[in-house]
Amino acid sequence: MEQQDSKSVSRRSFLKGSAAGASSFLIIKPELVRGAGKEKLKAGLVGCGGRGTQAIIDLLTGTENVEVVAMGDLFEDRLEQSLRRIRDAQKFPKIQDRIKVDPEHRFVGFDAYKKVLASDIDIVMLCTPPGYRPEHFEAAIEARKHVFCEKPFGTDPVGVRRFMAAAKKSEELKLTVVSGAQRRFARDYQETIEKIQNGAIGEVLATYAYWVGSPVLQFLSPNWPGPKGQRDPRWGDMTWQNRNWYSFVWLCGDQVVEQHIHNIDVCNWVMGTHPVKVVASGGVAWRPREEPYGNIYDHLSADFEYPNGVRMSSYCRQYPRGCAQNVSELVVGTKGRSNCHDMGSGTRQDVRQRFQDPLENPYVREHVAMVNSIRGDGPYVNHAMAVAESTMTCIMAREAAYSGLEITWDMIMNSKLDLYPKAFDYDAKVEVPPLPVPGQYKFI
Amino acid sequence: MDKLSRRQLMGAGASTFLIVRPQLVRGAGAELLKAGLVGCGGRGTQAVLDLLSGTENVEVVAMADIFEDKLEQSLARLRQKRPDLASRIKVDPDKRFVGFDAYKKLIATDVDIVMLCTPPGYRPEHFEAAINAGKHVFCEKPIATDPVGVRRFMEAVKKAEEKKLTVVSGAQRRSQQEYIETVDKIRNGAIGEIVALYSNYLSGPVMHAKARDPKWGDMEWQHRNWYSFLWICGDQIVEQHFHNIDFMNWVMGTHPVRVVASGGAAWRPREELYGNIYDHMSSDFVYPNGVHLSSHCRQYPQGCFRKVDDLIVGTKGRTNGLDLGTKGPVSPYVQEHINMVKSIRGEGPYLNHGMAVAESTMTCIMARESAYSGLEITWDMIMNSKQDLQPKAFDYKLAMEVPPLPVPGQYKFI
Repeated sequence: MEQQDSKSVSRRSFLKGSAAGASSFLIIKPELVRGAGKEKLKAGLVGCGGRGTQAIIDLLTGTENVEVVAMGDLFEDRLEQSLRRIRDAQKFPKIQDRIKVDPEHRFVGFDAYKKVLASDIDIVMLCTPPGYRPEHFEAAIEARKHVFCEKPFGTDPVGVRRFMAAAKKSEELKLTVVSGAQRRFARDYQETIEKIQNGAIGEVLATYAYWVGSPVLQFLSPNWPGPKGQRDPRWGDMTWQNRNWYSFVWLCGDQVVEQHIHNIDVCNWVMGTHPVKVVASGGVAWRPREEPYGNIYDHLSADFEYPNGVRMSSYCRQYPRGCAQNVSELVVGTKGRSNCHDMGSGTRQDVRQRFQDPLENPYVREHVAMVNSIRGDGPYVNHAMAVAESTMTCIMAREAAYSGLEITWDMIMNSKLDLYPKAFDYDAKVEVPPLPVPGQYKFI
Repeated sequence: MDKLSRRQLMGAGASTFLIVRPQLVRGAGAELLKAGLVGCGGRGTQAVLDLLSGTENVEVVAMADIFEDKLEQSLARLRQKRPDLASRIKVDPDKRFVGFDAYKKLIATDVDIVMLCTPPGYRPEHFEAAINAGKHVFCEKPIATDPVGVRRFMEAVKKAEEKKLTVVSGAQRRSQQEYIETVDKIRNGAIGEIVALYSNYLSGPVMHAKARDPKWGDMEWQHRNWYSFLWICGDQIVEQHFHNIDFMNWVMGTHPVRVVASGGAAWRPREELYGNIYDHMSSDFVYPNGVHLSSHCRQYPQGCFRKVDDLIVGTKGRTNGLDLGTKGPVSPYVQEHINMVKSIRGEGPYLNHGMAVAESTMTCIMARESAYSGLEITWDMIMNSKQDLQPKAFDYKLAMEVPPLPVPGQYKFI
């Protein structure tokens, strides 16, 4: 610890002397600053669920001379499962030689992320449930790592502001931060939104965001480690809630934050800013009021307003099989309309072909962009602040729906809502707050 | 015999034309008009005052309700609130009808105008009877609570048009000068081509009862507390948000072709008093030309955000539906009766809003069924829906089960 401090002091003074523009510039491996070429990059994964596992596969698929050398999770079984999956040589033959996670770099526990960060890695992939993101991201930036950061970036305003503070630091340090808002890396979205911003549909007058989808219920998933569809009676609250994280607001943020952020982020991207206020309504229409279903809503509709008065009509829900489904965006302008990907060179008609070519797959492209940014082979990418703003946009709508109030950007930016537990232990008692009731729920 | 001679009198163009008092066909001048009120709640009582205060030589001569106390309360209020109008309230004791068939008795009197102001569940049956009897109708919105009822109403509307009977709805915006002028300007291109529509009815709960009297049977209870029960009120989107949606249909000149909606009961306790309606619903309607109407309605408790407004966005500007017009000389709630009477007397244009508000009612029901079922509902689906919520028998003591709160994925759209 002490030594690290003294090291950073010496680096700081070194950098100060070298260039004025890099006054706060501080890196662990100076050779990895942008422009360093195809130097080997080592990555570590924090959060070995489905998303993290796939992210590793996508990272290794799209890049060269990148290795995975450390993994961390709360649960050993999740970590081992993840490792088994990425080591499936039949499915993923081209990445096997770059999976180098030796047993002493498999970290389990609430402090596993710290151990991953303390390993000799350049990139950390933050893929836990979003409740942990602000703390993990802050630590990653403190440790001068480049970050692949799954969306969303927090579940409460205190967390998002913590993230934003670290995001500013990451920009100062010229660290690359790529988010899992993969539409920002889809070629058809990129090209279409550029055209929209250049006037292809005239002035934008209305925006729409939809995630009309199906429930995400970990306790019903095939690899559920407990008794089928139930809580294992041996599990403490903390274990149970982490295992079944999509049902609990502090961990997942509710659907509007965890999932609908994709579409809301696209509208913010098109508009070049975030909304200034929102009125939203939502509730539980089908979710049983039973323990496994936790305290999130199953539908939420929001009427956002951007600074120029343009609205974003947002609809999200997770309804059972057989109900209508629609995940999309729509932008209407004075001269036309767009679904935000129909003016790109790779249109949806090519979707199958695009995914056959891994380098056209947005989930791969985001890692290619990240590595190119780190190596200076491509433009510097740091989506931390943009996606933090989109996360806050979603939280603003959630709080509007929970409270029944109109919530402004200023209100949410000053909100003291802090859902993060103060102690972590597998057996910790964590009470589940009741389902929010408009008119009773207190916005703080 | 009498009928035949009238038909001959009216000429070939009016072959299906059949009226009770030929002197009251359009163009008959300021002849005395007699009106009867069906449904003596707050809305009906106010409608009578509005009718009398805006017109001349119009009298109210009959009243009907299923509850005597409601009728007497209404009569007392009418006389007390506007003593200046009392001379034109001539409701003799034998013209005060109470019961489930009170509307029939009222329609059988010599009234020229029937004012249908009961809860909306009854509207199709009452309207049909009024048109069959050749009455002009002031018809509160919405005009039904289910697709079968709306279609029954629509059939009667066609008959009303054939008979040139005047039908004015309680969608008072259609009689409000600011809205009328704004719509005209929109039609004339004031905001360019319409690209997006927004409607909000974010308000407070409407509760007609505080608790159930143990002496009341289910039917009486549900009437006394009618806003909580789907079959009789239609849920908020139909009963209240109708105003905004009807306005948008008017602006667009048509109804949406499909909708996806979500809703639920976020605060309404699962208790008898609160019945089986939702407390919030958000809908994404699409008109034939692809324009979306983003609609939000809810009835949330005190302290929650409230607004009732509309926004129409065009390629050249935007309007809230009012701001391109000027305020009229009288309240739209009075104006609608002035227009009705002028239409009946031939002193103004013939008015029949029946089909337009029937379509708007169906638009609202389409969204409600989408929210309840979780399905996308198209206009064709709702126009062919077999949903029929009207009870098959009526009696104060009738046992009536309250269907459970609709659960998307389980609720069956029929």
